[in-house]
This record gives sequence, structure tokens and C-alpha cells, in this order.
Amino acid sequence: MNIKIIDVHAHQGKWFILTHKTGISDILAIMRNYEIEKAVLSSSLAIINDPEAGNRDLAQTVKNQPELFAYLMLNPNYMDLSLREMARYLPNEKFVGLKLYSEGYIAQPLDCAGHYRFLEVLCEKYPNKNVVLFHCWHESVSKLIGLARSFSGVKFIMGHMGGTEWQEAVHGAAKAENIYLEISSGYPLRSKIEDAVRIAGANKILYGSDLPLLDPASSLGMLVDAEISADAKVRILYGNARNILKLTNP
Amino acid sequence: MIDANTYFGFWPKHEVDVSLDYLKRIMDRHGVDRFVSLSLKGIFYDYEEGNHDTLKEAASDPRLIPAATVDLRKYYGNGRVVRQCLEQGFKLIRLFPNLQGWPLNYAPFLRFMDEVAAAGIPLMITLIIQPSGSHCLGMITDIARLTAGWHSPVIVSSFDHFYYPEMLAVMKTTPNIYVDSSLFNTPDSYQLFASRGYASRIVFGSNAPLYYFASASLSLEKADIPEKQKKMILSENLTKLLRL
Repeated sequence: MNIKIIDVHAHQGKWFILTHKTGISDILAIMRNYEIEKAVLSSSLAIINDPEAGNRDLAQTVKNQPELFAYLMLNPNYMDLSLREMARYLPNEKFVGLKLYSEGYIAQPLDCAGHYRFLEVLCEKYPNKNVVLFHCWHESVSKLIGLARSFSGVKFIMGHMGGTEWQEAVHGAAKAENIYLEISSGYPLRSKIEDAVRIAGANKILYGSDLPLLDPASSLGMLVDAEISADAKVRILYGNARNILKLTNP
Repeated sequence: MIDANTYFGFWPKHEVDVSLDYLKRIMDRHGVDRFVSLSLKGIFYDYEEGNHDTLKEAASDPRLIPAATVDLRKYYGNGRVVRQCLEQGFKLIRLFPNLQGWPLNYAPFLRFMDEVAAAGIPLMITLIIQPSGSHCLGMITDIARLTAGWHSPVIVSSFDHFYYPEMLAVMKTTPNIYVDSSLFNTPDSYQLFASRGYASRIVFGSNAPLYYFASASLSLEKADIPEKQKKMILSENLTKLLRL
């Protein structure tokens, strides 16, 4: 498409399913292959198992890579540790905000008390790191829409555009100024992108690949085929992320 | 290029144009020469009417390779359904257990499989069309057990990376099992299957027009496998399987 790309949803580390390309050199090679200029990563180790070790590895990885940035992953089952992690990493200019999960890996609902506390601390102490990427499927979508009402100062990125509940996600993003839709999906159902642009607006959509769990081919293919304007594609692939994340090259 | 996995008609689960005209536009835009397709009416409403529509459309456009479907919730096992499909000119029979809500230990399915085995027509069993977020691990193993020893091919379609270990395990023991690549959502997927020696058992599918075609095509384009294997996947394997 010959458009600059920022990937707002990528990972460092292994998963329990096929991903041979888990090293940072693999990630950088994939980015070059698809001409992805910048990517924001969270640690799969932090998501699936050990946030302290995963965040530490990720901080080391992004430190000397100008094209890579990081989300801090927090586990609401470990509040003291999580608050220490926020203090340790959020002042770091390479960390742009939080990655939060719900259900499966951490066995907590999206609107759990721990997540509320993280968001309160974020607003109070780190208002310039107010971007939160939430993994979002099923009932998490309606919970995120509710959470966004309570934290108007936080920019919520709804991972996978809500997955199975993508239609609810699109309408939720249309109504809430602070909800953005990230498009990565292994199930590239046609019309999702067109509907999201028509209902929520191109300014509310962000490109994400979920690499290396998925390959950028899946989500880029959606944009290649989507019947939306070239201007909308530029915003989705690059402009919106640049405005929201304010990525720098330290 | 031949697309092994397309549909046309009306999709009731979200608003999207899946008409035959739109499917043909997608196929033209992406340089697809022929495509295996079937009417969605046959999946959702009535398989006999759907099959009739599919044949009618195939008769007026030689690019459309007709696939029949049978809704096993309406199958009473007279022993002639599969034979009739063959006589009508269908090249393939497709089944949709998850979409229609029947399990693989469903007695009508077991009886139907006897008919398919006797007729020797290629069969395609589709796992996922509408993502649910849950997985049906074990289905591929059951399909392999049921079809072990068959001479005719069985293509498992629309499965993602959660199923790769299971798929690779059954491909090793069950030589008549083939895969469609419509949910191969990383180029690694092709490399994984090809590195095990199974490039000759992959057929390219897109799930168009329900899914964005370019998501499927870009994954294959980016796959680090020889061009010869890409050609096999894009057309040669299916040409042999369906005797086109």
C-alpha cells in the first residue's frame, strides 16, 4: 500500500501455539518485511505467567531499539507488585502506557477492582501515559465501554476490535470519545473495517498485527481489500497512532 | 489460481455483501481463475434448494466449480444422496458441523460417511466460519479416525493455529487428509506444513467473500517456501484432487 505503518499491538516472547519467530531479531525482520516503522510491544511472558520478569525483559529489549516501544503489563492479582512496576517503568520514555488482560490468563474480569485501581493511579500519577490496550473479547467489550465512562482521561484501545463482539465494539467506540478500535484478527471477516469507519469513524481505528502470534499479513490484508478511502487507510495505519501515542525517537 | 473455499448468497449473521456478483468481482480483482463455491442457502435454509442454485450458477459460469452440501439435520439416509450429487456434476461435498450444531459422533453423520466412502467423492469438512472464541480440539482427530483407509480425499477447512499440532499428527497417519489454507494466518503456517513434506496436501482457500481475500493471499505470498510449492498450493493440488 506504500503507507507508513505503526503497529500498536505486538508482543515479545513465546506463546503456547505456533510462533517460530519469537526473538527480537525476528520481530524486527517481520517489521522490515512489511515496512512497519514502529511497533508497541507487550511481553507474552508478562501476560501468560510472570509480569515482573516479562516487563524486565521487554524494558531491556526496547531500550536500544528506536523503532520499538512498550506497554507495561500488570496483573491485578498482584497489586503491590503492579504498583511497584508502574513506578519503575512508567517514567521510562519507551513505555507508552499499559497492556491489560482479562478472563483467561489472569482469571479476573475486565472491570475488576484491581484494574480500577491501576487506572486511578495512572490518571493521578502518570497522566501523560494514559493509553491502555485491553485484550477484549466476549463480555469484556461491554465492560470496557463502561470503564471508559468512568475514566474519561484514559485512551482505551480495544484489542482485536472486540473479537466476536466487534459490532458492539464499533458502536461503543462511536459513542465514547476515549475508545479506539485495534483491528488485529485471525478471522478477517469482511465488512468489519468498512462498518467501523462508517459508524465509529476512521479516526477511531488503529492498525495492530498481534505479531508474532499472528502475522501482519492477516490484518494488512483486511486493509488492502477494505473499501474505504485512501485517507482513511493512512489514518488507520499511521496517523491515528502517531497522534494518540506520541511516539518519539529517543 | 483456484480458490477452494468460497460461498455466495446471503449471510444472516452480520451485514455483508456475499452475493455471487460480489464474489466474482473479488475473484477477478485478485486474478483467481476458478473457484469452488456453494450457495449459503444450502447451509442455512435447505440444502436441496441451495444445491440447485449452485448448479444453476455453475452452468452459466465455467469458473464456478460446484460444491454440494448436505445438512445432516435433514438427512434420513436413503443411501442415494451422495450418488445423486455425483450424477448432478458436483465435484465436492462440503459439511458444516459447527455452523449447523451437530457433533461428529452424530449418527446421521456416521451413516452419511458410509455413503461418501462408497461413492468416493472428495469431502470438505469446515471447522470455523463464524469465530466463537472457543475451540473444538479433537474434531480433526475424529475426522481422521472416521476416514482412515479411505481412498478419496478429505479436506479439513477453516482451522487456525490452535489446531496445527493435531492436524500435523493426523496427516502423518492418514494420507487421505488434506487441508485448506483459509485460516493460515501466518506465513509460518505454510512453512510448517511444507517442512513436514505436506505441500502437496494443502489447497489454497480464502473464505471469500465472507473474509477479506487479501488476508489469505498475503500470507501465502509472504511464505518462505519454493515457488514450485506455491503453484501446487494455488492450483495443482486441487486440480488433481477434484480431477478438474
